[in-house]
Amino acid sequence: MNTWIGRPALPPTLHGDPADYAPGERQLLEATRRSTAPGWSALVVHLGDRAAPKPHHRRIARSLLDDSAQRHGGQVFALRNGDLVLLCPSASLRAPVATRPAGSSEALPALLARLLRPEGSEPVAPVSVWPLPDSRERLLAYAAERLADGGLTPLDHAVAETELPIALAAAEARLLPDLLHRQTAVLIGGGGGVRIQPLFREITYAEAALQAQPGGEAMEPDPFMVRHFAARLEERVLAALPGEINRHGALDPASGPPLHLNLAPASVTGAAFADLLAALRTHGAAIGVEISLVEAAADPDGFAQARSLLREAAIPLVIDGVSPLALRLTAPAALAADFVKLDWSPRLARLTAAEQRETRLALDAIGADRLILAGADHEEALQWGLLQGFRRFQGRHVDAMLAAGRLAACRHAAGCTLRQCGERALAVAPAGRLGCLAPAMLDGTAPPRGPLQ
Amino acid sequence: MSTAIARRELAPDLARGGSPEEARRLATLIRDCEASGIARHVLLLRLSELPDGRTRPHHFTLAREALLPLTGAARAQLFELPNQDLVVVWRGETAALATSLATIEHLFSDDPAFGTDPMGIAAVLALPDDAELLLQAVEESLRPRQPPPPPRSPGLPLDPATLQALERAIAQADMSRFARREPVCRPWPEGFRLAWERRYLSDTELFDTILPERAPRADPWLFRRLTRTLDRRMLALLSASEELRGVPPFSIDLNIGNLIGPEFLRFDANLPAALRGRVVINLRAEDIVADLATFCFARDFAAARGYRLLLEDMTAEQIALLPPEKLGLDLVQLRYTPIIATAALPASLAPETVILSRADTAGAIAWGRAQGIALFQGRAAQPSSRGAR
Repeated sequence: MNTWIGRPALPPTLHGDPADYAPGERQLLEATRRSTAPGWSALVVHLGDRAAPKPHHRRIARSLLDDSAQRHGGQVFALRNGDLVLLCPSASLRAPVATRPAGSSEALPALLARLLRPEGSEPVAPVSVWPLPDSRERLLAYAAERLADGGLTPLDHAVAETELPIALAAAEARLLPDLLHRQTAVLIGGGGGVRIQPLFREITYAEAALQAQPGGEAMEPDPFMVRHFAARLEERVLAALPGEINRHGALDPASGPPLHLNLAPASVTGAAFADLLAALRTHGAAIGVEISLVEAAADPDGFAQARSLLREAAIPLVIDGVSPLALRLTAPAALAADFVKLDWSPRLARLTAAEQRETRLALDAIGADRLILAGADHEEALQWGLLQGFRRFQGRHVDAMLAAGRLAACRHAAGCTLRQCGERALAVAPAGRLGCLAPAMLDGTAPPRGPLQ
Repeated sequence: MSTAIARRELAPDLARGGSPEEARRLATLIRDCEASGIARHVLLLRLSELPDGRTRPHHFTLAREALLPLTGAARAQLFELPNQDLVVVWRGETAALATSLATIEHLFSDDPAFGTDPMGIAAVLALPDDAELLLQAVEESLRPRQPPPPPRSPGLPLDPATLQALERAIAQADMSRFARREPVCRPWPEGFRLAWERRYLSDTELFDTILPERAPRADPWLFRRLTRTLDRRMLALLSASEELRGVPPFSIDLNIGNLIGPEFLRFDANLPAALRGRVVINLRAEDIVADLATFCFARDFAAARGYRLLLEDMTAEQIALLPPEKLGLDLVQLRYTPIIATAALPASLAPETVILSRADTAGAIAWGRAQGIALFQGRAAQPSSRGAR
């Protein structure tokens, strides 16, 4: 989530002298004009160009620059767009960051470049070093440009902590179906002439519903609160599902491919889950369970008990919430689950050679038959996954493929668009499925099949 | 000298407990080992500490059957103490120990009454080193049983509104009276020496004081969130002038968010030069996994400022999931359990990076030292001098 507020209401003085509302830019411009002596440099930290700057990026960068200025001499300029500039003796940029006896022997530009290395597809280098006076004109132009532009104001405290409980309380009070989405995962390239085979329908919470609450937009940076909210939602889903069996609604476990529930280990070993299993057995319906990597890491004993219970009940267990970074830094294969769900990121297509090796090793440790690529929202994700040996996919691109199949097969589809069909399939609340004259088809284009195989 | 009871028949009334004579025979054996230096292994199963509702005859039968493989070990003797605790003493290494422990764990691991530590009732000890601890257990078994205290209400879990109020209260309360220190020690020929102190706020005492009717840990994620506020208060305490003058090296528990927060920057700015490079930051596994990108940022920043990062309270299973070398961490705190003592240190761990926690017995220390571990935390690892090395 972007933690920057939009262009603020401009102060009345904007139409007067820029010096009144842009002291950093003005001071930088003046200091650059005065800097004619050799042996000085400008270190520019380009935080304003980052696609998703976090408050700690600026805070830590500022602290490192201040520390350097204090130790070696120099001046730090904080600009309105988020950029930071250190004017300092060139030699100080070659000195180790930390004081002895411990700490990094790295120089400040290298450390900042490493800390702020771009993620995803951001093309901008995080730091520049402009030696003076050679780069004086460049620095002057940069400072003038910063002074001229309106800029954005970074928030140093992105999470309005007092608002979070309000958002949660409001979200928890909403009707359950309004808080949920249902997304189908598929097997691609299966035998028997079926190219796309629905595997399961995962029930997730709808982030939009949460973020629509006052303060809800601040949820993302607080993973603990998100986990708390998810746990409350799990309780409600577990309590509701037995009553949904054979009611042919979006949450009916008996009406299509197995439903997959996101649960914490403690929920799997709790009484509500046992009640659900009993009800499912009575009606011959199947489910799967997804436990996030963070829940498994937080409660290893509970996870082992949950895994054992699920094995006994022949319920497939999926580890989800595995980011590309988590795939490289952790060992999800050690959890011995039936499947591991990797979250797609465009970064996967642009890994360094070392990262590619680590990713390949991690994927091989899990095995292609146990991998699911989630968040496959674009064709690029599908192509990357297929090249890596994935056969199981989930994401908006997959949703569109399924919707296209439904439109082709549905005799009521004349007035429907691809987008409408896709959104209706995601909806759990009846209102979200309004307009569909063949709601049973929203559960999947192919005939129902057994649990994920 | 006591009588050997290899593969002794199960008593018909298992919940009744053994006789005082049997306890005295065990005490004699312990003292003999202590006097003569004869080495024996011991498994103490504290059935007297079984949770309420888990003290039916079949629980005792199953627990006792779990010990049967051990009674086949060399010179094995089984003692049943008056308070129903079971003790097996034997000579030499035996694979049966792992079998028995695995059976005990299997018996209780699915039982929520045991909480997160189903093996808390089992202790693997060594004679003569643990003679004092074992004699204490015998003595306790001979005392008349006190009526159990009335069960304390488990309390309601936190909810977001209470959490918010609690965060405000903690932000304003005097926290210095909840500040505690716990030594991390290095074995030395003459005893243990302090390596560093863990400095922390006792959340148990704090919550008992300001929110006795609630169970803050019942909602693990709201509790994690609450620890952020505690972190900030701890950092504020440590940033006070003179607080760190002349103190030994120390460690603090921090959430990742606080390691890159303004309070930490103030703490870092006030850190005396003598402590730079000698402060350890304790991190939790779930906090790291919750946001790996931010963890990597915080790790690199902390390393650049000379802090060492420790992965706190890990089991062997967690280490398999979160290999410390992949995460780029300096130290791992490994939780000692009787189960872990039946195996070698996980191969992915370098012994010099490990702190063995819950080292409450000489057996734990012996196992750790045999694995090459040089840092210990627990009741059996108390410093004989305050000087940190």
